[in-house]
Amino acid sequence: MSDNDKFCGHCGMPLVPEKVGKERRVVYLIVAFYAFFLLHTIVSFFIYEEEITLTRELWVEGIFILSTIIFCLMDWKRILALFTAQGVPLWAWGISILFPIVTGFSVYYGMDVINSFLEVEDNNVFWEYFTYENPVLWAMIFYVLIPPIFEELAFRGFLFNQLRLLLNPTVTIIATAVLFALVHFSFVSMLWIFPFGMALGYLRFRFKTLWLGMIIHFIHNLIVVSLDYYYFDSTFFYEDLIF
Amino acid sequence: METATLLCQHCETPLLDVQKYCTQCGYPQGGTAGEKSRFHSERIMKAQKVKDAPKVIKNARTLLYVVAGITFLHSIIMYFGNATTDIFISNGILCLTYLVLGFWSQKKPLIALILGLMVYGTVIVINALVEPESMYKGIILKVIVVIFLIRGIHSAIELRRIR
Repeated sequence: MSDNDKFCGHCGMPLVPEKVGKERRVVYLIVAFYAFFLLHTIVSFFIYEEEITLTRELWVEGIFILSTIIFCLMDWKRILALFTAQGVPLWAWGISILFPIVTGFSVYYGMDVINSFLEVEDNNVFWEYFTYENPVLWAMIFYVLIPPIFEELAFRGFLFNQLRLLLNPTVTIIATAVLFALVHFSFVSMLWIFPFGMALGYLRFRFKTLWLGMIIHFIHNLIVVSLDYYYFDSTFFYEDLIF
Repeated sequence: METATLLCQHCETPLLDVQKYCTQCGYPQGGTAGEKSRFHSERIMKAQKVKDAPKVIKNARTLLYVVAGITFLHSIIMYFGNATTDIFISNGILCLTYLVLGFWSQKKPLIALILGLMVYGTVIVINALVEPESMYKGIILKVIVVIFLIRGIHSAIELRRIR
């Protein structure tokens, strides 16, 4: 048998998996990944529609975390390699701290202006958590800690790696950002989530690490949740509860 | 050392006596008439798929434009109805997204159609969550769009093989 052989001379089976077959598998995996996120949203919607409780939220988040880990395990070697800080220059760390400070404040106040222009009710996260025993702790866990770790793992880790098997870097960054914006289920928010996702995708590609994306995502969400806490008016909450 | 004694009847690659199949094209040189005829029919079907691929992709692209048009008309009707500004703007962004994906599918058909399918699926899910009855509205068109987009994705994969 020579190195140039494409088929086995005895059984006729292809020696190298066909490119089409490999690409089809990647496409199915990407569609399955996105379909899972859609399904998770539908299920969460019906679970939360009845009543939001801590136990229910822990279940929903637990399933999201577990599923992300399962997807990542399919490509664990390449994802594990992204947990490196080697070759990341000091200026990139600096940008990863400054950039989310800018986006955190501008998105918070910018969306406030857009929401009042569109006459959309602004949803403060503490409306949801104020009945919990430690609202700040749970808001921090569900908004500041879990999304930066697991959304980065899912989108800039698993999805980015899969798309990269089919596409060039620029198109991969764009496609990851589109899907990242899409799963947030707000077409108006796409205006800022899409460029935000592009920036995270670019850093992931340029420095081949997930750390920068996680730091940016973490600081951004921390600012948004902290501002929500700062502006949350608990007296209004009790008035609303009574009337 | 074994030497090649015959040529593949399909691609003329030199083959060894012991080789039942061609090592380059997979032709069943030493196979039955049925196996040989199956090989030829599979090749013809594959070639036809590749030949039809640009047309199938074009159909999927046209449907993306149709969906963009329907979304635009819907937002205009809603604007003169009692819709809120945010729904009108959301529809505008959505219409623009379909148009961009349609244009993009001329250069990058595979990813543009995958994203088109995902955007379309997301919109159906969001509408169904807000208004469950909307799931059945225009169900035939929804099925047609999904089928055409999936066929377009398959054709885009086939087309990449020959490129």
